Amino acid sequence: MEKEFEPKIVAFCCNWCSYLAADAAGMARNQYPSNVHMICCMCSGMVHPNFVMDALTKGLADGVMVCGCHPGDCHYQDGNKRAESRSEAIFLMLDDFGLEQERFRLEWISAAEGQKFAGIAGEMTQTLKELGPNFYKS
Amino acid sequence: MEMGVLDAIMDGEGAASRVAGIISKTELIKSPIISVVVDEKCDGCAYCIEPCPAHAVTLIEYMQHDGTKKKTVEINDALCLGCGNCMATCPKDAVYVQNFKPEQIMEMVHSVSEEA
Repeated sequence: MEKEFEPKIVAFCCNWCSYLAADAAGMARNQYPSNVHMICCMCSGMVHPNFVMDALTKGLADGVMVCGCHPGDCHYQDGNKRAESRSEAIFLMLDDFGLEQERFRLEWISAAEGQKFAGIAGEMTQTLKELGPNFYKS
Repeated sequence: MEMGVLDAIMDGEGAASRVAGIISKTELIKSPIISVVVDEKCDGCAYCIEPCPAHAVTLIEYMQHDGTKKKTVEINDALCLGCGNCMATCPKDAVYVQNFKPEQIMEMVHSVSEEA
């Protein structure tokens, strides 16, 4: 029997909100797929677009998520706003590299929204399962 | 939020006492996670100055040993919060946050891909 495709998702989570949301999801025992691998960053504004593009174009991941605090809640004033403007550049670059727009996602998750984190992780895994593997992987 | 005169005075006193708590100490301990500039890579484009929320980055210019001028940026260690906005803006990878070097983050991404 052929094994079902299991996507690998890298999630850059900000230290103050989304990382704690993942923690809250665990505490509240919300189930989410093990395809999501979290990397802790100080702020979502710390994620260089190159990190995202390298992860995708070197075939290291099938999808990338950047999770930050809600707008206005950033621990560093406006880091998430900058992450948002960078994400527009990332979407343009995805087009240039021939990757689907669904492979990248920017989400605002506060520390109390464990359920939302679990939901987004599930959604992302589902869409990537439908899309199939990243063709840079081979 | 509306505030009466008494509330405003209380608020001000609270802020003052918080400041007094900090400046009464002779030493200040702060988080070691701050930005570091790699002087060899930095060419002084100054893209990192505007995004810094703490205004900790300044453009400096100095004379090198061979007499040529070198432009670079300087991080004020006391002001830097370690958010990494400068790191994400830098086009030359010339600034990094302690413990969050681009190589370290990419290594973490690599380890994700190697997992079965």
